Amino acid sequence: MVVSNMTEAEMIEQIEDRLASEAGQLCNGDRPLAAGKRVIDSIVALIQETCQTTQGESQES
Amino acid sequence: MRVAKVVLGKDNPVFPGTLTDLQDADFIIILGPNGSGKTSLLSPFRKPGSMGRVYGLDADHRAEELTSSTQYQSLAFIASQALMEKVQNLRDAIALASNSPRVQQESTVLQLCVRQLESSGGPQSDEPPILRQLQRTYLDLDARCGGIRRTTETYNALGRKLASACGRHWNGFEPRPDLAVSLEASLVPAFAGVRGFQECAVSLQRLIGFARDTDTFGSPAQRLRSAHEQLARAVDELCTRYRLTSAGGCPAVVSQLEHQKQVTQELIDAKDRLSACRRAALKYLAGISQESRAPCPVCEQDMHVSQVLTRLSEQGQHEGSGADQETAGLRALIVEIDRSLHLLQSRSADHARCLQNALEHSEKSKQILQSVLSRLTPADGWDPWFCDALADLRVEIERWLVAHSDATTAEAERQFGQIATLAGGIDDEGQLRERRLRNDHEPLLRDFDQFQRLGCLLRARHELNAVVYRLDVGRHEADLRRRQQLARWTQLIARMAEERRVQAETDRSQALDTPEAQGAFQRLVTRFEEVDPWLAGLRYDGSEDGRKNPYLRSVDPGESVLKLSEGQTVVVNLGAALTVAGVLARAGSGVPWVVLDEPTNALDQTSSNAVAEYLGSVTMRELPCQIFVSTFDEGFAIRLRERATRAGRTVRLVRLNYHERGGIPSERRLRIAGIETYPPQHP
Repeated sequence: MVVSNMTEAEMIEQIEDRLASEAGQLCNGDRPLAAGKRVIDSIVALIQETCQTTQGESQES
Repeated sequence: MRVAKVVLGKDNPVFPGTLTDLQDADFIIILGPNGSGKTSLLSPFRKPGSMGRVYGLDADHRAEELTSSTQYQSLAFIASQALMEKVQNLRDAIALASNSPRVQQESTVLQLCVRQLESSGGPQSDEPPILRQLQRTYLDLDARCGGIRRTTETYNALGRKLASACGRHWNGFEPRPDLAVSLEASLVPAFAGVRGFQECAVSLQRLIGFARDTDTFGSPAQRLRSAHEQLARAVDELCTRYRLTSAGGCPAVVSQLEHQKQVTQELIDAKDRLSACRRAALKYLAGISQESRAPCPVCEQDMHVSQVLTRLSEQGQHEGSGADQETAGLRALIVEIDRSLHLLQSRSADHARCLQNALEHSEKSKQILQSVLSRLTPADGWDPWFCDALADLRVEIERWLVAHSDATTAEAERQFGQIATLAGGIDDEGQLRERRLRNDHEPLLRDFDQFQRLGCLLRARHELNAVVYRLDVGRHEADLRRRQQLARWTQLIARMAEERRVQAETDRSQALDTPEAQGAFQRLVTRFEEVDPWLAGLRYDGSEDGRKNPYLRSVDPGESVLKLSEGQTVVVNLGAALTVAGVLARAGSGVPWVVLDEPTNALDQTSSNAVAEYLGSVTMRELPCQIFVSTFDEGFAIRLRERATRAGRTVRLVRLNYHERGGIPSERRLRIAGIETYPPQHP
């Protein structure tokens, strides 16, 4: 997937997948804070990847 | 609308497979051993898509996909793990069933994401390679500029100086790449020597070189005169020696000598013939009688032959010795005449050769002077000094050509030497003047070199600035797009967080904060009176009024902390989940089904029986939707079927065969062993 051209629906799906990946730990698990940090890091990395790709495409052009 | 058909998708582990004609069933039991694909068959209810889709029938009995939000789909799909989650109080139970804690937690996580994204400011960009390359070029040029001031003023000052030297005008341009290059090319200070000198330099050198060669290898005129004197001296000497006349010169003397040689040779020949005659006479006389008388061949007197022989012998001996000496003298004279002739011929040949050389040299001198004269014609624009010098030289050359038209003499050579000396003086003066001009030109060349280096530096800086500007613009635009993208996703995440927060509140208000839900829950748990009186005694204690935490308390006032076994936890969670699903179904905001995947996992037989009793007793009024239950426990399925039919539901029992995992792909499919339908039993 070209992350810079990701649609909003695709981004929502990506974020929900990341939330779902830690859903069990996130709500009632033994380490909800660690699960929350993993989800946050994962989502932030995803967002930064899309923004970095956008800037890279601009420089190439 | 009710569920009519489940169609498995290509990503489903038991694809292909369908479950049809479900619209008439209120309670669907999927019975099969572990690995038969029960959970896979029900997975389209949890997340429709590649795993499969759920269809209902519209008013015209056409299949229509049943969709709803992920939130409601998750609420209606109750996995065994969810039923085993811990519960502390009624709020927890209902909240767990309504997924509101998870939604609330996700909202919190997403809000933290928004904060982190806003504080991070996004990714930083690397310096582009073209900028580094231009910077390196600029620094290299800067190093080459040495002590030159790197300013446009310096560049323009050098430009003005060079323009003045080149006879051009410098307008003081900025060193723009497209303009400075052509300007610099026009300001190259060309070397301005003695005008006309270089055009004549070759001719002058030829003239000077010819005269120098004449001096080096000797004068042809002098060699000719020497040869002439030697020839004349030889002629005089021979005339004296042989008493010859010198009139007629060398050829006449040679002729006289050859004549004298011929006469001498004839004399020798006569003497030789006389001796031969005498020898013949002696031989003849010796053959006749010596007593006979015969005239003497010398005195012609008549005498005896013997007397004649005696006299002839004496005469022959006398003449023979004298004749030999005379003949030897004559022969020596011939040798001497030959030597003299050879000497004369040698002198004459030397003279002829020298004469030829002198003539050739003279001819060449004329050719050189005529050639030089034609090439040393001053042209317009030539240096005045050079033109004057050439005029003097031309006069001398013309004078020589007139005076020495057809001969070579020492005087001609001397005058030629004077002309060459004059040409040499002009050449020396010309070279001296050119050296002076070249010395004056070198500073201009250095200035031009500095001018070029500074121009290159300024152009590099200009280009670097332009690229930096372009990159800045590009980076600004990229940053803008990045910020917009970041803001877009941040807003999206914030919106998702807010939606989840609102959803959690809505779920709570719909599922928990209503007396209807609380009453429904308590009505459900009271059904455990016979199975678990303690569980049936749980009551909702308190209300939202003034109570932040309405505990689910035991009827025993001394039991302040709720302690539930795993089975009790499942029952409480199941009651809460069904309560929430019932509320949603009655409100018409959910999906028309409730799916319970293996609800009896981790339960003992008693608890399993209780769950069967409890779940099967839920009426259509309490839970107005289709219920799908999967189980491996046939006893549980039978109890469930019996209880559900008694509660007024039509039960469909779907039996699955064991699905061999990892087998041949074509065999990995849903294997339905049988489908049984049980109508409701009305008491």
